[in-house]
Amino acid sequence: MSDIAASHSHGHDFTSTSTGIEHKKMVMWAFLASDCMFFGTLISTHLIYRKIHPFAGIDPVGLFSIELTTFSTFILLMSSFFMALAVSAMHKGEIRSFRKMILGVIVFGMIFLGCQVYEFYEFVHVGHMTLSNSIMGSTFYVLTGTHGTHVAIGVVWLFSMLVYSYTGKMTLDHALDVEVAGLYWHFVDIVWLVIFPAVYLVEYIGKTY
Amino acid sequence: MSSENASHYIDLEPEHERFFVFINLALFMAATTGLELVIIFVPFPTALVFAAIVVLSVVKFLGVITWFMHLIYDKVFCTVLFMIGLVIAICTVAALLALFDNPDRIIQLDELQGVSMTPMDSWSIGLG
Amino acid sequence: MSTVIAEPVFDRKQLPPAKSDLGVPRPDRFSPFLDWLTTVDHKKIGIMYGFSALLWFLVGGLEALLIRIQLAAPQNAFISAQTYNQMFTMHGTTMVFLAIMPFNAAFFNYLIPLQVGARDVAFPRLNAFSLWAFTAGGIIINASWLFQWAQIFNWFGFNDYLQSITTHTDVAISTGWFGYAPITGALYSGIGTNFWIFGLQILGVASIAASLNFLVTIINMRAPGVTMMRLPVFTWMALVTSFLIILAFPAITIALAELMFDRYFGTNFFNVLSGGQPILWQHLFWIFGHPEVYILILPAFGIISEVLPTFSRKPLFGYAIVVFSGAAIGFLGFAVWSHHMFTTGLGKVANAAFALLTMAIAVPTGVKIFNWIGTLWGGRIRFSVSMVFACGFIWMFMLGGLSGIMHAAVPADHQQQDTYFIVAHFHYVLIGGSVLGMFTGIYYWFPKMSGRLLSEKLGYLVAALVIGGFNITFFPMHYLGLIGMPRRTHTYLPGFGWETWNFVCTIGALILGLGIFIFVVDLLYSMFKGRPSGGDPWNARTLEWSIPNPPPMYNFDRIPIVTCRDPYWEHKYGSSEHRLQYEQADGHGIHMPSQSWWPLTAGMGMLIGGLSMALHVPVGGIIGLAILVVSIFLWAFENPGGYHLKPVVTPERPETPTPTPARTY
Repeated sequence: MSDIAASHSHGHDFTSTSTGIEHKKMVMWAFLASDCMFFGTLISTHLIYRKIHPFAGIDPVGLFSIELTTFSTFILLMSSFFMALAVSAMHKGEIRSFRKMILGVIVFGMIFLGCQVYEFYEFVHVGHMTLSNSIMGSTFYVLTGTHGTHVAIGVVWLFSMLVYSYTGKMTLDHALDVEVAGLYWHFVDIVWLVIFPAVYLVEYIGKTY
Repeated sequence: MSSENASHYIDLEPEHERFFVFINLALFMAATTGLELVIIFVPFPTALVFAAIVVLSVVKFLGVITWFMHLIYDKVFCTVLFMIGLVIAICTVAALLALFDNPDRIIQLDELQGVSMTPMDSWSIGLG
Repeated sequence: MSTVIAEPVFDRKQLPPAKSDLGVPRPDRFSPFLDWLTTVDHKKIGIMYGFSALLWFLVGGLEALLIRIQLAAPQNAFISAQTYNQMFTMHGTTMVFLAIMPFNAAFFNYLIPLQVGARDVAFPRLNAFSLWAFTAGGIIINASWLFQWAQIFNWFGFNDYLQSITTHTDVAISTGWFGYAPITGALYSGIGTNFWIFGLQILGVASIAASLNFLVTIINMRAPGVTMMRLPVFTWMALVTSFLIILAFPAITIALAELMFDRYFGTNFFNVLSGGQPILWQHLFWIFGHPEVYILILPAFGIISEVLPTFSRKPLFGYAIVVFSGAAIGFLGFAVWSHHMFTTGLGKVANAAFALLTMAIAVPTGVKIFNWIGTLWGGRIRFSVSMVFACGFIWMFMLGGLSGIMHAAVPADHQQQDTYFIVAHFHYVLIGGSVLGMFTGIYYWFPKMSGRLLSEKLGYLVAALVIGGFNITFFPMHYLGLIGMPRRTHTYLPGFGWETWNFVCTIGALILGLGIFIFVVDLLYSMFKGRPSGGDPWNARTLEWSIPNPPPMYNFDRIPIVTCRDPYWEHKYGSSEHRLQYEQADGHGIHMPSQSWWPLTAGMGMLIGGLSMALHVPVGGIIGLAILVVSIFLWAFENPGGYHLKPVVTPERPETPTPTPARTY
C-alpha cells in the first residue's frame, strides 16, 4: 500500500486512488452527469414548445422521414457497439483490432452526421422549416444541432486517437484514455436514444396517415 | 477492473466473455429500434403506444449504460455519480413540463396576428 | 510514458532544460513572471484567483458606491438612468461571478489538497485552465465598460461602427444580472448583452472545469486514513459545492445559448411574436440561479465550521449532522427555483409546491446554525479577528435567513418582490454570509499562505467598520421595502418617506467602503511586512496546519497517514495512537507535474473569441476558437512530463517529518 501510494502522483495511471476508480474515468462520469442536465434543459425547451404550440405552422409528420431517422438511430447504435469492441481490444492490447474498430466508429459516426446534414437540408429547402421562421425550427435545429456537434467532437477525438495509434506510442497504458473516449461516445448515443422518441416518434403517435 | 500497471499479468478471460455480451446487446438494440418503429404505426390506443415507446427507450438506455459503458463491471460509485446527474435532470425536466401545463396562460399563435413590437428609441423615463 | 524524468533537485532552477513530446520547452525553470503564468501549482493558482477576486470585488464595490450616491437624495442626477441600470447590472454580475465565486475558488484551490493530504489536485493543467478561462470571462464582462467609453467618446470610430450594427447605444451591460428576456433580446438591448452572454459562458466553462477537478481530488486523492467522515467540513462543503456547480451551470449554459441564437441567428426561443415564452428564460435562469446562491454560501459555511472549533478549542458539534445538512441543502436547492417567480402567475399548485420546498430548505440551514452555537457553547473562546467575523457571520446570516423565510410565504412575497426588502435579504445573506465568511477565511488562512499575520488591531477596526457599516446600509432597506420602494429605479420622488433612510444607507455604504479600504491596505502591507506567524499561530486542528507556513511546493515532505478527525489536534493533544505517521519515501524524490503553456493559450483563445463575438466580428471568433482547439490538442499530446524535487532538509525539519511545532497557550 505505502510504496504505491507514495508515488500515486506519478504520470502512470496507477489505480491507487482512494476509490479504486481512475481519475480520468471518474471525471468523465461526473462530466456526463453534468451533460445530462445540459441536454435535459435543451430537450425540455423543445418539449415545452411542442406542448404549448402543437400547431405551429409545421407538420412534423409530413416533414420527417421516419425511415431515415430510424436508419440513423440504428447507425449510431452500431457505432456504439464498435466502440465497445474498440475499448475491449485496447484492454487486451490488440492495437490492430483497436484500429479497425475505431475506424468503424468513425465511419458510422460520419454516416450519422451525413444523415443529419441531409435531413437538415431537406427540412430547410423542401419542408421550409428554418431556424428563424418558426418556433419548432428553432428548438429542433438547436437541439439536434447541439447533439450533432457533440457527435462531431467525438469523431474528431476518435480520429486523433486513430492517428496516434499509428505513431507507435500507443500502449496498454492508453486503454484508459480509449475507455474514457468510449464513455463520451456512448453518452452521445444515449442522448440520441432519448431524442429519437421524444422529438421524432412522439409526433407520430395517434396521427392518421 | 484490469490494473493498468506493468500490463503483464492481466486476466483476459473476462474481456473475451464481454465480446459476446456486446454482440448480443447490439442485436437486441437493433431489434428494439425496429420494434419501436413498427409500434408507432400500429393502431393501439395512444397511451399504450406512448408507454411502450417510453419503456423500450428506457430499456435501450439502460442497456447502453450498463454494458457498453461498463457500469456493471466497474465500481458502483461510477453509477452513483451518473445517477445523481440523471435523476436531477429527469426531475427538472418533469417539473418544467408540469409548470407549462396551463394552456390558459399561454398566448396562442393565432392571437398574435396583427401585433407588432417596436424597439424603444430612447431611454425615456417618466420621472421628473 | 517514455519521458525521461530528471534527477531530483532542491530547486527547479537547477533542472536541466526539458522539452515536451511536442518539442516545445517545458516552462519549469523560467522567470518569476512566466512561472506564474504557466504554473500548475494549486497554491499559486489559488493566490491568483484570490487577487483577481479582490480586484473585481473592489470594482463591484465602486459600482455599489456609485449606486448609493445616486440614491442618497430624491431626484438625484448624479448618473443617468441608463448608467444606473448598468451600475446595478455590473455590480451584481461582478460580485456574484467575479468576486464571491473566485474567492471561494481561491480557498478551494489552496486548501483542498492540503486538507485531504495530497500534493496537488487531480488535473493540475485543467486547474490552470480554469484560472485563465475565469480571467478571460472577467475581462470580457468588464471590457463592456471600456467599450462604452469608446462609444461615448467615439474612440477609433467605435461609435460609428456600433451604429452600423445596432440602434442601441448601451454597450456596458444594462439588463440586470439575471438578464430577463425579452429585454435581453436584440430588439431591446445593445451589444452589452453580448458581452454578458459570452463572458458568462466562458465563466461557466471555467467553473465546471474547476469543480470537476475538485470533485475528483476530494473523492479520489485522499491520504491513507482520510475517510470521508474524517474530512474537514470545509472540504465536505467544497464537495457539495462542486456537485452543485456541475449540475446547475448547464441550465444557464443552455439559457445563454438560446439567447445567443435569438440575438445572432433570429431564432424564436424568447421571441413572443413567434410563440416564444420569455418566462422560459426565467425558469432556466433560476434553475441555475437558485443552486448558484447555495454555491455562494456553502463554502462560507465550510469556513465557519473550521474557524469556530479552532477558536472555541473544542470539536465541531454534530459533525455528521452538519455534513448531512450541507448535502441536504445542496440537493433541495434544485427543487426551489420558482420561489423567485411567485409573482409571475405560475398557478396555485406550483406556488404551493415551491413555497413548501423553500420552507423545507430552511430546516437543514437552521440545524447548522444550532450546531455552530453548540460548538461555541462551553468552549474556551478566543476572540481573534477571524472569530469575530465568524460570530458576525452566524448572526448576520441568520437575519438574512429570517427575511428569506418571510419571502417563502407566497402572499407576503407578493408585496416584497421587486422591493428593497429583497435587496436587504440577499445582501444580508451575501455580505453577512459570504463576505463575512470570506473575511473569516482570509484572517484565518493568511498566515498559512504567507507566513505572516494580518494586523490584529486593524483587523478589529475592519470588522467593526464592515459589520457596522453593512448593517447601517442594509437594515433600513427592510423598512424601505415594506413601505414600497421598488428595486432598480434610478431615482425616486420625494414625499414617500424614503429620503431619510436612503441617505442613511448611503452613509452606511461609505463606512463599509472605508472598512474594506483599510483591509486592503493592511493586506498589501502585511504580505511583505506583517509579523511572522510561526507554524501554528491559531493552535489549529486540521492537516493543513501540520506543514510549514507557507508550505513548500510539494506540500507534504511525505504523505501523512491519518487515524481520526481533526488529525493535527489529536496529534498534538490526543493519545499516542493518533500521532501523525508518514509514508516511506521511495527514494527518488517527490514527483511534481510539469508546468504548461497550453492552459494559458487556451484562455487567451477564449478571450479573443469571446470579445470578437460580442463585437460582431466573426473572424475573431473563429480565430479564438482555432487557438482554443489547437491549444487543447497540444495539451493532449505534450505528455504531462514531470520532475522530482528533494524535500528541503533543515534542522527544524529533519528527514522524518514532524508537523510544525504548535504554540502553547
